[in-house]
Amino acid sequence: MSNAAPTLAGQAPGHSRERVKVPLLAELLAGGSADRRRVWADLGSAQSGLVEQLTGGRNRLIVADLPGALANADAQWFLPDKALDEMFWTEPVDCILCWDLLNYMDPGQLGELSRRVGRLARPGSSLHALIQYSGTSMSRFPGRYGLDSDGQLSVVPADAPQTRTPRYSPKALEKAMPQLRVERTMLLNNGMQEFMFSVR
Amino acid sequence: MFNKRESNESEASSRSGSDNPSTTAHQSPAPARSPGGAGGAATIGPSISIDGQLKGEEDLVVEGRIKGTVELKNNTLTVGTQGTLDAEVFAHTIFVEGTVNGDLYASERISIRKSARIRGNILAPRISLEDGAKFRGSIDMDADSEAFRKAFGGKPSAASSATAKPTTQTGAANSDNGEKGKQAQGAHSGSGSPATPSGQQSGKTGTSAA
Repeated sequence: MSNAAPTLAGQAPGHSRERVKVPLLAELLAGGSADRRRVWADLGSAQSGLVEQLTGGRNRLIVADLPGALANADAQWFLPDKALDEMFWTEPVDCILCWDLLNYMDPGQLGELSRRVGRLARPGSSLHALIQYSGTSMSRFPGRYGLDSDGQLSVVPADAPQTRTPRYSPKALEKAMPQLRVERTMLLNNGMQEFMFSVR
Repeated sequence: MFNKRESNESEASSRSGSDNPSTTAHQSPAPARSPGGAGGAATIGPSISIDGQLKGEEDLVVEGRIKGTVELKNNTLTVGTQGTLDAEVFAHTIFVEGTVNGDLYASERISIRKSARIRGNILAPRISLEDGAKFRGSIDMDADSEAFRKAFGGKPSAASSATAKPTTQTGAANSDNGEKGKQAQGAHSGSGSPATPSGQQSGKTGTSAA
């Protein structure tokens, strides 16, 4: 949908794919009972692995594709209900996936996202995020993330100029996003930090 | 993937909601081939656009444009790489290689290829999506969901209910706008490509562009 950052649509030429274990995500995917319907919202782009993982269960997956909105230079790219209007948010969301995107938001945008998430999700529902932790620079656009069949994430950085990472701490994120509470964090071997938030 | 068969399309032409519905339709000497490789099924070629309700009992490849509703409850719909749907679709199996704005319901499977561009809700018990596909919307895989029951469950499913409605003749009801406009059916043939026979309504065995 975008001409601005075509590498977001697929594999970035010249950029190596790295794989990373994501224990908190694995727990989230394994949670819930088989007979209970779960509504997921992936704020990132559509990916085959997640669809495969959720197929066969009582799942609904909403894909907001915020990277697509960012690549289109949409000023409100960080708002899932702007990227995807109300007809798609027809029931409360149980699990939200927000990989790498928080790195591209300033505190004001984080606050606005938090308010929207508070409206779209059930209280107590989970938001899983991946944040840059140790690196000081990152691509100007979010990378491509895909869930592999063994539960690991494949990460392909976007083919774009580098920019500074905000390196948000858990406290800074909680302050910027008052509707979310940090439940657990885990440092990953690719220098990112895995966050599990709970919606207040 | 599909049974080979001759194209048996009939398309009634009119512009929904138009004061001056055009009713052009043409005979295609041979069914167009799908660039996507799903040859053999009935094909709506790249120059053809249909505005209205389309239903049938055979597999269909769309390389043209459809606006309205598509019902192929027992068959496979392939939206080819050149195909564009602004439609609600009910089918047994749906393959998407092109562009869809609208909701897709399949009783069996939906397969989204990497060239696909979709905005809408899709619902099927089995769904596959290739990386690189552009998708914005929701994917409902819950066969016990209310939406799935509405589409396929119970006695008169949404699809079959819609099928039972009498179809509007070409050019008829075009004075009705809005929702009724969707019931006004027709095909609008573009230029440059052989098209299908003029027919006010579909043949009984063919895919209908009603």
